[in-house]
Amino acid sequence: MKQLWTLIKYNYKSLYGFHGFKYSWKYEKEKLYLNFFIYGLLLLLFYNIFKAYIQINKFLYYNLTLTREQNLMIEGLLNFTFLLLLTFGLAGSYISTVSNSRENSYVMTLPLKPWQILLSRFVPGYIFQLLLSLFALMPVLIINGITFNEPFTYYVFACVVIVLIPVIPMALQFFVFVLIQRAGYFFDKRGFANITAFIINIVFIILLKEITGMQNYFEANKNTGVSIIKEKLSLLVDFSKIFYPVNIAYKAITEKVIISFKYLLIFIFISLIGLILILKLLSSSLVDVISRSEEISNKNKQKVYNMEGLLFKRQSEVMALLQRDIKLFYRDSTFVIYGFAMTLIIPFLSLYSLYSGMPDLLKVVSDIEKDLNAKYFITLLIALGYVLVGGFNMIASTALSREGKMFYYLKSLPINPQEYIKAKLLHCNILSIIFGILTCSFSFFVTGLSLIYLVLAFMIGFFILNIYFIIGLFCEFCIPMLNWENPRVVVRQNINVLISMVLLILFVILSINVVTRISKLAIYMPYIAIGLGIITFAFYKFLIYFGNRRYYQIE
Amino acid sequence: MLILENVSKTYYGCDKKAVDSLNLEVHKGEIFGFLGPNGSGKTTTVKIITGILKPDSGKVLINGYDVIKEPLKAKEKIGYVPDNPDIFSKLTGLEFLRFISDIYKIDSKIRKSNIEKYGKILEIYDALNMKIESYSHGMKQKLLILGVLIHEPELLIMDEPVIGLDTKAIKNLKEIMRSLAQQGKTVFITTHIMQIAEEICDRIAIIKNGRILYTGTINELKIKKDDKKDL
Ligand SMILES: Nc1ncnc2c1ncn2[C@@H]1O[C@H](COP(=O)(O)OP(=O)(O)OP(=O)(O)O)[C@@H](O)[C@H]1O
Ligand SMILES: [Mg+2]
Repeated sequence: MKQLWTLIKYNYKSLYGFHGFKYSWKYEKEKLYLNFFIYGLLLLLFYNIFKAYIQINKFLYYNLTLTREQNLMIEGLLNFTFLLLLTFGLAGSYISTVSNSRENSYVMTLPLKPWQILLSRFVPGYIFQLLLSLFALMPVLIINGITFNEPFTYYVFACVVIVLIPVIPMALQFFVFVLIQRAGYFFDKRGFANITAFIINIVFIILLKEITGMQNYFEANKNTGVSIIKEKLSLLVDFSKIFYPVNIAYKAITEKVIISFKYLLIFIFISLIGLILILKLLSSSLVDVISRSEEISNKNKQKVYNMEGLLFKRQSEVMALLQRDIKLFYRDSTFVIYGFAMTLIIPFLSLYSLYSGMPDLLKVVSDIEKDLNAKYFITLLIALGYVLVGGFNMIASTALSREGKMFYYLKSLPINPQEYIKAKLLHCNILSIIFGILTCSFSFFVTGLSLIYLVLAFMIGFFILNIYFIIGLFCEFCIPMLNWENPRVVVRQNINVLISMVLLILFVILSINVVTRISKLAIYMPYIAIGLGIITFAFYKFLIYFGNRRYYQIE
Repeated sequence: MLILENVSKTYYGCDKKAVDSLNLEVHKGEIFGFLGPNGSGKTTTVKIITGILKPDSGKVLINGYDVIKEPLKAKEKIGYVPDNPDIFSKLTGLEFLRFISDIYKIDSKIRKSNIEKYGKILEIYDALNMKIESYSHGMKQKLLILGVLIHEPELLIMDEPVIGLDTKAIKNLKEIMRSLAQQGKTVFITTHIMQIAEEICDRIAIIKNGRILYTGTINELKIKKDDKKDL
């Protein structure tokens, strides 16, 4: 048992990296404060979503009590949580079953039973899912408890339900993930990473849209708002015909004490069975998968090139550096999550929200022929869209950290830092330019703006993005994260990623505020474009100057 | 060819000097062995020579160029084989070699003939189409050695090159080093195996706790050894 506990703690630490805090507290306090500050900012941004969620819960609940239908809400939310765990929670199961690191193969050599290994990998993913179920269920259960002055047992039962509800979704996900991997290589780790990221992003977008959408309903008209939500809730409740355990969980919470206790026991029993089933059936498969993940599948291993051909052709230093950078980025399952799939999602978001979430925007867009100001307004919006789309991949903010210990080897080569920086910037721009063109041509069909405006939008977006990339690279040159064994660390524990995420979100929020408040845009437009161009150039020069010196100091 | 003057280095946060006022001169055309027990500062010295670490004091001259003041000119002349070959794992061997050749600005013909020539000697040529992560430890090391041999550097610096190589590969590597030295190139290797140094090195230096205890030929050392037993 003690062995298992150590292993769980180890897995947990290597995934979430909280063990760094204790060390940081002792030896590098400045870095810790910076970390806290940035996490605080991020929390503040997500706090609003949570607050909105609680408000909606409260509001709906009181409206439903008027017709004594409050239980519909609880049942609906239980189903919602289940769905959330099945989709959004995929991330937890992904890190538990698919992602691997070198340490894991070391764990394989220790005298441990397969079920212990499986359980130790189950727990870190479970913690993620537990947070989700807490987030989703806590508000309404507390509101319900207070309103009806429920007895102490109600809270205990509710807690048990919250704690146990992730077990079955996770067991299902484990079955799918482990068995697919076991059955053969349908797709490699990169494929898994992409698909997981894709699903999670879509769910995230739908959630964000639904929550903000609900707020809009209420502001407009309370009665229709409530009835719309009632419809959605009963739609959710229909799901419980499929997810039988949710039904039992619902009864365990809402029935009278003695009856509910019976249901609670059944729920615990079902969850335990789920857990025992995966322990019994999957543990040896998982161990098999882990040991096989060391192997590189044939498909990936062999690449046949014509030895006489392209590969011997000489190319410039920048091109060589660029090619290497692109290959290293896209061939690693860790980084690829943040590459294409992540970025591809945002056009989906804009499409989706354009047609359902923001009717006002569509109205503005269809009225553009009226005056020049409106046209410029939309141009700026397109540019912002481009910035959001192009900046989401973390190529700039992991530029140096990605290299890891390889950077030291690069330092021994006669590489001009200037060329190195150019290659990094080019890499950032390649993806973003593709998406810029996509955004602009997409907007062309939606808005019908003439080409000049689109080019202007593209230019503005391009300049802003490059400033953003340069800042990201600058941060990377200041505090790169080179000493890691596991590439996940580069994204998850890298302060530069946090900084640039916060920057991007803040920037977009700020500029939307500014843009909507300035009434006479047309006058400023040329200055904005020229000014941005000059700033970009100045930043670029500064980065080259700074990078040239700093490159040799990084140890 | 290679001159170290009073080089000292203390790692950040450590009290002890990893390298302590090191003076060293390696002549053109010789094979120089750098010996010492574990943790004595060999790798640190090599990293300072190649510009990976910046010395706290002192300077390193390669072919007359200061590594810190004129890094590009100095580095064009060297080829470095690190002690840990776990790098570029997502590239294939050939892609890695192409990258290296582009950085050292080598012509298409030369790179092709050198890859074929040395690749076959090192017996790595057939594996070049595979990703580096699928290589064994020794194969990775051979690839890195092949990487420096493409441009036949004036100064070849290898950190523990023989560890992980099989007997045949070691023999071939020795022959390559010999022929390079005969062409007037310089070879600098670190090792903690006396026998290797004895077999191929023209001169050696012995380092312990960051300080050089001895510089000279092996034969001189053997005579001295009778007086001083602590080496
Ligand atoms: N990254 C580092 N940070 C701090 N101290 C280090 C670091 N690398 C090495 N040291 C210290 O510097 C000293 C010299 O280490 P170095 O790696 O140069 O030894 P070495 O002679 O190459 O040993 P080996 O034969 O094991 O390769 C050691 O005392 C070691 O503890
Ligand atoms: Mg060493």
